[in-house]
Formats: sequence, structure tokens, C-alpha cells
Amino acid sequence: MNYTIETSGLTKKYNGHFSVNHINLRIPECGIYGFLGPNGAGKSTTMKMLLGLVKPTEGNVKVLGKFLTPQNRLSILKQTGSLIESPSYYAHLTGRENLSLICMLKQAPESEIDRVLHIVRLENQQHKKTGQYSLGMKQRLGLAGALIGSPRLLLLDEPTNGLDPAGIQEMRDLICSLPKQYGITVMVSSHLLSEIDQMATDVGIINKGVLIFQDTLSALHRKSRRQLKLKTTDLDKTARVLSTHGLPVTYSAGQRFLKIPDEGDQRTAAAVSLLAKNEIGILRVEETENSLEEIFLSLTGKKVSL
Amino acid sequence: MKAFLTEVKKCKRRRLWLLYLCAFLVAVLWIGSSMIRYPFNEKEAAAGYYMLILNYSLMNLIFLPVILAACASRVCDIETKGDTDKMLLTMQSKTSLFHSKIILNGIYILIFSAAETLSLFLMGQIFHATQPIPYFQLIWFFISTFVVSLILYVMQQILSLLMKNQLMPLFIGLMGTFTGVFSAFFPYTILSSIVPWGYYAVFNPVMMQIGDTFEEVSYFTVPLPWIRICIFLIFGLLFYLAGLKCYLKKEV
Repeated sequence: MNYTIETSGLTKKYNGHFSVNHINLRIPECGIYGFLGPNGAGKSTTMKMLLGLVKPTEGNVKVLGKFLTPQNRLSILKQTGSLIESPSYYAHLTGRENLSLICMLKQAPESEIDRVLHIVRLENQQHKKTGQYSLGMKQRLGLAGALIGSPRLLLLDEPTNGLDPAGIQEMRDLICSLPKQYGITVMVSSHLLSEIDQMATDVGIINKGVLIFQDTLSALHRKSRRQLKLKTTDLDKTARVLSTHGLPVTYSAGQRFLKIPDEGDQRTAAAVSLLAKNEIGILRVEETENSLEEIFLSLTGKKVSL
Repeated sequence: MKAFLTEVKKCKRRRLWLLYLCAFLVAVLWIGSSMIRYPFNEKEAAAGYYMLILNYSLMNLIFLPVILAACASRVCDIETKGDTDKMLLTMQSKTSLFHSKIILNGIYILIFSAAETLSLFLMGQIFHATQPIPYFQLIWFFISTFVVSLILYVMQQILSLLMKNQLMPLFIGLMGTFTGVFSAFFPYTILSSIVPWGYYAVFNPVMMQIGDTFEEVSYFTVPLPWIRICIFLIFGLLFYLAGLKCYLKKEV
């Protein structure tokens, strides 16, 4: 598999404390890599190191097939776009003028401005000073700036921060369209599990500077242990009956359901007939998966902020 | 070149030129109005250019440090306020960003110094100075105004880039003005040597002597204090190198 970004042993220490601890990222081409972690896990520091904005204490970074060095950093980054933390802008300039500055620095034609303004749907506000923009508009302007020069790689650090629900949906749709429409590899960080779940094709989970999981989103979901949710006319009797026949039973939160492990169709059929024999009315049998929150909790042992 | 042109574009609507124009107009109007009220007498006209050089140097001493601090703050503030470093530094190097700001203001300072020197010359002509035009002193006035202002600007830019709160460098510039003016009253003392903001006076080759009766004022030139000038230039170079190093070390 081709990787757009590869790191080996990437580490950043601040005052002897590991902010990022020997992480080996593998970001596949033309996908959306969700970089997930609670606040303060080291996501922004990692992304800054990928852009050469922060010098790693140890390890190296390979971007678009080349090792990132102070000498070749700018030439490699010409093919990337980034939006780190809050959007950067000159408040006294209009949106169009801000993008024109980026065009100059990236040596991209001015016609790019109209293209990216169209992508982020900011054409009508292009002549307004950015100081008067709403946060959502600033985020979209930041994304437009990152898209100038048709980059092959886009690094977006919490791009939906501070957006209203409509803005979040819009930004999410926009990010999802980038790999398909423009062949861009996107790395997007978030502390929101649901957000990554809706956008990413691959996932990396970082906690306390350590990469604790890295694979496809479907592999993450496979980690989820499937269970059966049971609702009957008598939950306590059901629990007693199933337990005596060797099935581990747990109550759901609020004790409205029972949960048993899903061990195949035959075992399910056997459990149902056992309940019927004991004259217990079966109201519902439902297949469930662990939520990402629960998976994260099992990986990190820490409840995440949502 | 592209970094410099970007810097020019960035400073659109920041009206940097207005600050330099204000400093220029204040000096011209102040000195011009005092010349209208108290025109040269015969003796003063014979040393007219010296008197003007001294007055212009004093004006620069009073106004330029604050103006330079304000200009440095205005060009650096846009980066701090817009949190633009993390965007810019993926497209240009830190050194090019640092130098393009210096070059932009360096050009303004050059134009300002040339305009001041020209106005000084014109002032002498308009108010009928009978003294032969002192070309060396005029050229030296131009060079010294440019060099001292550039060094002070670089100092202020470094402070503005390293400090998040832009009030601090402005305050330093303001305090620098006070100490600079104060030090000018104590020429040839350690105080006038260690205060960089006072070097408009140190670089000035014209001196004034007030007679015992306070009615007679004479103007004359003195040899330039080359050792102090060299020390100041070395100080400027070291401050620039150290400041650039600190700025390059500062992480985004």
C-alpha cells in the first residue's frame, strides 16, 4: 500500500515530558485518515511536526515519499494544504485578498481563488473584510486557503471546532468529497468519535502521546464485540434461566434490557427456545455493537470528552 | 522577492506610510513654524544649516523611536492577531518573513530620511541661510538618520515578534525616547553611549554652545565619535543576529 505520510518513532518532548511518544503513522493515499484523541493527547503537536512547524525531538517524517528535512520542507509542503487549530487570516483584508496572498506564496495562479471560493461556497462574502466574518466563514476561508494550488495532501486540525450543526454537516460533506472529487488525501483530527466515524476511511487513535490504534475504520468496528439485546416480560427470571444454562448475562444501563454475547445463530435459537419453554414472553431480540466510545474506553481505559 | 511583495500586499490598509508621513510633517511643521516666528538673524543665517541639522536631529530624537516602535508593532501585530505563523511558515521560511518586514520598513525609512534631508536643504534655502551648503554634514545627516532608524526599527521588530503583547514593545520604545532625549543632555557620558535611542544625537556632528549671557548661541562641528559609532553598529549587528536566532528558535 502507498502511504502519503509515514512517520517512524516520531517524538516530541517538552521539559522532559512526552507530548508525542514514538508514534509510527501510516496514512494511506486518497483516503480520509481520522486522527482521534482526547484534548491534549498530542494531535496538534503531531500535525505541526508533519508540517515541520515543530521540530521533533526524535524520529522522522516522510511526506509524499520524501523525508522531511529543513532544506526540502517548503518544496514538499507546496503540495500540501493545512488548517491547524484556529483559522489564520488577516482581519484587515478581504477574503479574496487573503487568498491572493496565499496564491502569491504558493505561486499559484489567481484563477485558483475563484475555484476554491466556489468549493467552500464563499463567493458572496469574498469582498467582505475577514474581521467581519463569522467563525464558520473563517473556517471555510481557512479551508479555501488550504485548497489553493490543488494540494495532494490536506491536514485539517479540528476543522469543525466552533461551527454550528449546519456548518459541521457542511464541512463534513466537503471533506468527504475531497478524496473522490480531487484525489486529495485528507488527515483530519478530532476529539469527537462520531465525527471521525462519519468521515474517515482509516483511523489512528492517540492518547497521552501514544498511538494506541491504527487501522481502517472497519477494523476498528470489528474490534467491537457484538452482543444481543433482549427484552422479555420478566428480565430477572430470564437472567436466572440463562445463567443456569451457562450464558453470561448483563443488565443494560437503566436495567431495561439484558445483554448476552452473540455466539452465532444456533446459540441464539437455543436461548430463545429455552426462554419459551420457561414461559417467558420475548418482546425483542436485537443485535448491537459497541459504540466507538466504548471501544475507545476499552483501548484507553479512559472516558473521552465528547 | 515574492515574500517582500506579499508583505507589501499584507500591509494594505495598515497605512504604515502615514506614520512616517506624520513624523516627517511634525518635524517640518515644527521647525518651519519656529523659523517663521523667529527668522534667522545675520549671525544665525551664517550657521543656518548647522542650526537646522541640530533641530532636525532633536526632532528625530523625540519622535522617531516611538514612530518606529509603532511601525514595527503594526507589521508584527497582524501576524500575532491573525495567528498566521502556522499558515505562513508552511509556505515561506521564517528568515524570509523576518527580512521582508525589515526590507519593507527599511524602504520607508530610506524615503523618510531622504525627504527629511531634502526638506532641511529647502528650509535653508527658503529661510535664506547664508552659510555655504555643508554637503558633507547633509549627506551624513541622511546616512545617520537612516542607519540609526534602521537599527532601532530592527530592535523593535525583534521585540514585537518575540512578545505576544504588543503593548510591551511600544512601552519600551516610549521609554527609549525618554531616555534617549535625556541622554542627549549629557554628551560624552556613559549614559549617552549605552542608550541606543539617543544615537541620533551621538551621530550628529553639529554642536551648539550657549554663551554666558544666554543670548549668544554659536554652532560648530565636532569630530565624529567613531569608536562609539562603531560600537553602536556592532551592537546593532549583534542584536539583529541574536534576535533572528531567538525568532528562528521560537516554535509555532
